[in-house]
Amino acid sequence: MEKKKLLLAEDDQLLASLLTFRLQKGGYEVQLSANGKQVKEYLAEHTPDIIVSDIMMPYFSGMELIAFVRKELKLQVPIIIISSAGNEENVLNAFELGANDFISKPVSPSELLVRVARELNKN
Amino acid sequence: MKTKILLDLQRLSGIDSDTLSATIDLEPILEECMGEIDLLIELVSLYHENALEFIGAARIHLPNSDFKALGLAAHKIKAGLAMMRTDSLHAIIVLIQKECDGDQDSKHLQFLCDCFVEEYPTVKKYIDTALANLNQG
Repeated sequence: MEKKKLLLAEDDQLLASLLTFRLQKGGYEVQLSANGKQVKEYLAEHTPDIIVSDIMMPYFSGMELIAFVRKELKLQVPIIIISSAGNEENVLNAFELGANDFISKPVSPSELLVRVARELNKN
Repeated sequence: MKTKILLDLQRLSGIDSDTLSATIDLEPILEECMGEIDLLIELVSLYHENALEFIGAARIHLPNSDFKALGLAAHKIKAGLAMMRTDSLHAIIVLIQKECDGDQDSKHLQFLCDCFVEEYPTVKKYIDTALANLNQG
């Protein structure tokens, strides 16, 4: 069976290393992008099955990423946002822009795997 | 370990000093790494890099009163500190970010950054010991 493609947009290398490892073990093909430039470059040539993105990233925030995917690329790929605790306003804005789910930091990799699978099963 | 810093932090953060001074337990992180010690070693290495990077960023941004950049540097390191359950450093960073987003009191920020610089070697020692113990086990 072909692996589902997951775009992980996360600039925190510590968190990104752990999440990439667990997602790969969970059977996903993970593309890690550490900033918005890399995200745009990847999306110009690929369509992932799901996107997991931090809200605060250099050059291109998670919000801009959602708007880019929904309005410019017009993709309905599920988007899960990673947000810091106490960032409720950003989370609400993310949902308004078209995010499908969010997970708070510190991120539990097991919880993320469940949420990713749930979003993919919806589609 | 109940240093003046921890007592000050307890007062400022509202977190009790026993929690702040608890020794580091890396076993839950190793479980998240599915028992892969090499990954844990990599995460610990990244953790130390991030801490040193923050100390460097604070030394640049604080004298320039660049509170936005200092707040972003604090934000960037916060999740890693929480992930590794290093509560004392996490409490300091939360206070730094709050101050950068709020009152932007340079003296208070200098105090908090000094707390971080002073506390980090202790935490590093605990983490390195915990990692060595896991490696031996």
